[in-house]
Amino acid sequence: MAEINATMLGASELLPWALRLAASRRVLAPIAGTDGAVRYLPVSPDATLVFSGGRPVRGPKEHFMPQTDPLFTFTGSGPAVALQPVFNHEPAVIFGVRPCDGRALRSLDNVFLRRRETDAHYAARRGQTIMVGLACAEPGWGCFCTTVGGSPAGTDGLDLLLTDLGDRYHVRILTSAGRELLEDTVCSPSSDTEERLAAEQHARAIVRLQLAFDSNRIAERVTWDSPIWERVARRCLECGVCNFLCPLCHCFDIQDETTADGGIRFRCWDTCQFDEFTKMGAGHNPRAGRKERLRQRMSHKFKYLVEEFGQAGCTGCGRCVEMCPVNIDIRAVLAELGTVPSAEHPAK
Amino acid sequence: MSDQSSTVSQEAPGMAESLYTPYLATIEQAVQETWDTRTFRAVFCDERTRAEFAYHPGQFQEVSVFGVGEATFCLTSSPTQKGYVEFSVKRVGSVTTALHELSEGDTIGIRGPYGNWFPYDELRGKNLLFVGGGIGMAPLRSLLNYCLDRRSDYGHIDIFYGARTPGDLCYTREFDSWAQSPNTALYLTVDKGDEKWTGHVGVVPAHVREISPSLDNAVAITCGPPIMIKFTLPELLKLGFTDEQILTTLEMRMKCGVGKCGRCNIGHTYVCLDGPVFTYAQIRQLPPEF
Repeated sequence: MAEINATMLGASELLPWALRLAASRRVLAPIAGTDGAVRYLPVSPDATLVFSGGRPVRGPKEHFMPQTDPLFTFTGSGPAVALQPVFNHEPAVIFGVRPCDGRALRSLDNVFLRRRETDAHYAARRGQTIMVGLACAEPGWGCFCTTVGGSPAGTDGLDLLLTDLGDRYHVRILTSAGRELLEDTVCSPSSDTEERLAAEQHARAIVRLQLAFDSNRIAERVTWDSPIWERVARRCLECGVCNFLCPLCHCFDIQDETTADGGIRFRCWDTCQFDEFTKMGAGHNPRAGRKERLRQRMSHKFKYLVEEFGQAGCTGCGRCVEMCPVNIDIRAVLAELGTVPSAEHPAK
Repeated sequence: MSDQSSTVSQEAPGMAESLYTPYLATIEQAVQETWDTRTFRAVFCDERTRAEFAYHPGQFQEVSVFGVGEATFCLTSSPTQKGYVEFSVKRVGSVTTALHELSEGDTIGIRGPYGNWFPYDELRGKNLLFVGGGIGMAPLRSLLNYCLDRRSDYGHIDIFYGARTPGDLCYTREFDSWAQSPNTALYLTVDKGDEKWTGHVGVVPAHVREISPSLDNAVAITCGPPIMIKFTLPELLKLGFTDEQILTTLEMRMKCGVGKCGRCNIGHTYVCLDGPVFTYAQIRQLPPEF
């Protein structure tokens, strides 16, 4: 029997489905917190899933890379100290994952799974989490996924892709894990009309996303000596929001915290925009200025990761664009790179 | 449309598979080298680790003081020295200070060995010029003692080592055995002498220029403070070394040591994965950011 690749799910079926799944696993969905910000939180019977508008300001990265992530505990002291690795993962489903965030997982996979050794903490979560995507009908004002090879209806990194048609969802089945998940709910076959409605919504969203810069040969245009770095970095506050909200920024610090009978070694989010990021014990800092750190961020995303994996470290989610308090716009920087010759700047 | 590959359904990993859990080791010996540098000799607690831990000169490890943190140190012992590992610690911050406060018998954690290493096999049959400054002698000592333990495998060895003052010289207890090794010469210098110092006074690059060792079929290995490297490289080039014949080992702030935390890159090169040992030819390809 031929496998169907699309099906329809009634809108009123979604939350009951999520709650049924929550009986046996961790189920996250975009829910407004008490501060109003939408993040991926555990579903509850009175939850209101926020599917409208642009992607949530906090993405599902924190499920795979918790902001504070215990690595092991140590108890006792001396030669009797006992180390216990922490692998706190469980089967999970995340609903409402935007295509930019799904695609971002590929970049995290490159670092944690593909580059040399496998990071088992990340792999365990990744291997047990099913991603139910949601196509974007209304991209945010900072979004630029199509500029970097993505799409508001992209499927990369997802197991299912939902398209909201009002009273029902068009469901595109992408993996066997997604297909199995649907067994816990009631679906009906999709019609040609519904296929067309979904495609039209995707096309409308794509049209709204104008190309922000020429991503062709971007790695060549990210030059070391560009005068742009100095000029743009001048206003950076080193707040770290760009890295923290980015769905694929992964740099972390490792620290210890002591408890009554020992302690915890954990890793936590870090940012290459902080002065201490590369500062060595004796004081030497290869990236002592904001210019050097901004150059690192852009080069890492659009040059080094491209050279290593063939994929830029950016999926155009637009969070850094919308949330930077001093309006450093990564799209503008990339548009300008390559148009301003390095020789123009006398101070270099 | 066929199913795209999913990464779902992997088995839960066990203790051995975390990249971040260290081996336990006991400090067997702590030698005060200078006012701010101590060399620790550590023995792994677990018998199997003791037997199986294998490393090459030039590699590094992450050393833990549980409750304080972890820091990066090159292995300064040679793998020809069995049963223990050594690393030298300059007291500059919280972890290094905590290490300095430990005594023999205390427990630390060690993750490693990490990084690439000096190509000691390719150096066989060659004449070697070591140029070290200050604590930069630590990684060089691993290779140097390796070569001296396999003396007949290597040609003539010249060692240039200097520090700011006589009190800043490390490994003084080994100078005699280095100098007395066959076909080996040791040239010590200090930037500034004291009332007891009778040796050469001057910076290391100047000392190299004065002695002007002429070695053909040679490789130079250098490590030291950035300012020393900056002035040593032109001297080495003047002596006839090509970019490929000059080796150095770089230092960057590191955390994970395994290419995940994103901190130690120079351009697209991660010092913990593609280094810390580099030829000068490779360094010239890197952006000037270290």
